[in-house]
Amino acid sequence: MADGPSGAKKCRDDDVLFRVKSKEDREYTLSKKAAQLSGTIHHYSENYGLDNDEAIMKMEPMSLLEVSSESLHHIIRWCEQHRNCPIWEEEKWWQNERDAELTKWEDEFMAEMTSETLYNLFLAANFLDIKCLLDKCAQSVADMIKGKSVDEIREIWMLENDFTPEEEEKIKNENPWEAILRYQEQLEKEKEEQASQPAASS
Amino acid sequence: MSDKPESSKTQLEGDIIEPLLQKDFLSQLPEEIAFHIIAYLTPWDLTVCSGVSRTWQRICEDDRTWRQKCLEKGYVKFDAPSCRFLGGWATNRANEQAGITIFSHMDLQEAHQNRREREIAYGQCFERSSWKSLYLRKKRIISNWRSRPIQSSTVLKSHDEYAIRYPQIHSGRIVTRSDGYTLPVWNVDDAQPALTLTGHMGAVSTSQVSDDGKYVVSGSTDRTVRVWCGQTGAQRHVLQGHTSEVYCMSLHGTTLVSGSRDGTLRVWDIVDGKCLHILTGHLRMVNCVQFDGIRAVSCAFDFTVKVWNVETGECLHTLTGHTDSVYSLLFEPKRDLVVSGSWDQTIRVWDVRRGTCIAILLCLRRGYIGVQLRGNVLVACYDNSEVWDIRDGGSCIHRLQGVNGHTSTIIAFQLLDSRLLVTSSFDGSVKLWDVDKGIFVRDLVRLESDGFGSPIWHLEATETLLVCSVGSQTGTEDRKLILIDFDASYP
Repeated sequence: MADGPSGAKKCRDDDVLFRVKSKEDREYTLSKKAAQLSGTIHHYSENYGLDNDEAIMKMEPMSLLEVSSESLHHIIRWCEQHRNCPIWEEEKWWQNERDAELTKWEDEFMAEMTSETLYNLFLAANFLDIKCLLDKCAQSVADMIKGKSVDEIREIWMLENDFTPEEEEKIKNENPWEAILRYQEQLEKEKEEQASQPAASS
Repeated sequence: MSDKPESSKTQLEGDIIEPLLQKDFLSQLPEEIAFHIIAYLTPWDLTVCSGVSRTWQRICEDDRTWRQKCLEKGYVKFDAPSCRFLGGWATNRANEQAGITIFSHMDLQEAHQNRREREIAYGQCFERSSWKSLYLRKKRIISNWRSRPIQSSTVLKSHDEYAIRYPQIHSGRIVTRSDGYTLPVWNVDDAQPALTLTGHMGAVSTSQVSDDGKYVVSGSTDRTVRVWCGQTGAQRHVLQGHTSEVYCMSLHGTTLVSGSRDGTLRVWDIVDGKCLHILTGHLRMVNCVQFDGIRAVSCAFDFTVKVWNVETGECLHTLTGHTDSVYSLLFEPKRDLVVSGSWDQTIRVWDVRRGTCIAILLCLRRGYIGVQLRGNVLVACYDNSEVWDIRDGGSCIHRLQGVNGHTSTIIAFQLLDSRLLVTSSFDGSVKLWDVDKGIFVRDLVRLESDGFGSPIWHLEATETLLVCSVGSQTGTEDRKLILIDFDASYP
């Protein structure tokens, strides 16, 4: 379980290790640099005087009661991979540049996730306040939604349509793209009718 | 799952078999995470998603998310929708009887239905998320241009035998220049004449409306500049001093810079009617002037472009390089950019802070009718339209032509913020183009006379309105303005 996918960065033996404990009371370690990617751990370190290597080496494991072992395992893999990244600027997230190799690693990492794992990972990333992972999760979910129709979305996520037919009609009318599509359909229909008319009369 | 009857798809069973199903990330995750997700969705996807369920609608109509989408597109102003239903709009449709074909014009019944929809200026979406409503309205306006049927049009006829030219749309008014030395002004909303500015003793060669709509200024071959009240049409001042025809002008606030055939530019205060400076240096007729409140840029038949400090009257730069008369000019003060078009078959882009030429665009032939710029995209028209990218020395990215193109020379054009280009040609038609893709979009107007009576000489477009002026002194075509409405209400 401690081994990541091929090419994943592992913490080196001489790294100062930060100790954390999952919901299931299982202990994990991660490098000091990787741990600092989490805003929650960063605050914890400040509050408990874990600002020097000696203190960290002597530390008791930090309890992460909201994070399952599975999620924690993935989180550590993520953080070790990103420990040397420049600070993530949330306010300018769209300007943060990623290098191609890291993006590839991230995509593979995300592809491994089932819906359930991703859901828990999302919550864990939120709890641990890891900006870059939160962004990646958000992007992955958005990618699942993109380009789908209302009916497709309802089917995939088993969502009930709780609008009245009148409300649905109104919402459709608001949508300018829908209006264009309908107009184009109408034009094509008229074209077809025109094409079929002479045949019918003769 | 497929053999599960449709009716038993209840929330409860959904929970039991949950591990098999996809998680509903938007509804089940904390709201701040859901907002994080939807930030990555396109406006199109967001609109689709808000039609899924009430919960999804609430999340996907988050006003801050839509505000961000609007800002990315530069949609910042909540302009009130127009109501172009009354007067001429109701009674005087542009149609075949008037010798005009408007392509895919709604029939009367559709137009009536459309009008009823438009009368609700702010719909329910506006109450749920005003920024989404703004975004959708802008999208609707663009689709009114690009593909939807034309909702309404009208024709404004000249009161007399004179042609009406150079329409300028401003604050709900259209200011035009008549060959009869006057400036007829029209209301857009009811498509009726509003005022006529009378006083010039020669042809009106240039005019402008102040940003607040309070003043209209005009220059004439009678060597005067006149200042008019934009509301009442009363003549406020006659500014005398130029010793020849006043050919161009540029107004900023209440300071006016006028250029003349006498080779000088004059700076005026239009409130008290005083001449503040005389800018001398050009050797021949001043053709164009642009003024940003501090600097004025002018071009002349002496082949040069000059940059002036209007406060002091000093000439800051003389931009030389053109080898023939410079007849058109663009000034973008924010980027210190000036674009000049010349009879030497080049268009030059200048950095006016340094006074250097940063790009030379070589044209196929002379006879350009002007240049317009949006971002880094520059459009110039002659037989066809050329689209240039002004970066890195400048390169031509598209030539707008093809089977749907004009069959004769282009005489008027307007580039819109939405990167759509409207062109009018001697062939009597008005066409719409997409300058980013470099393609023909649709036909808008065709004159029955195919331009033989008189083509559409001038056109002016705002985001929601197109005004074309037809007819000349000598042609057989009626002298009139054609107005086409592209506005939409807030959904």
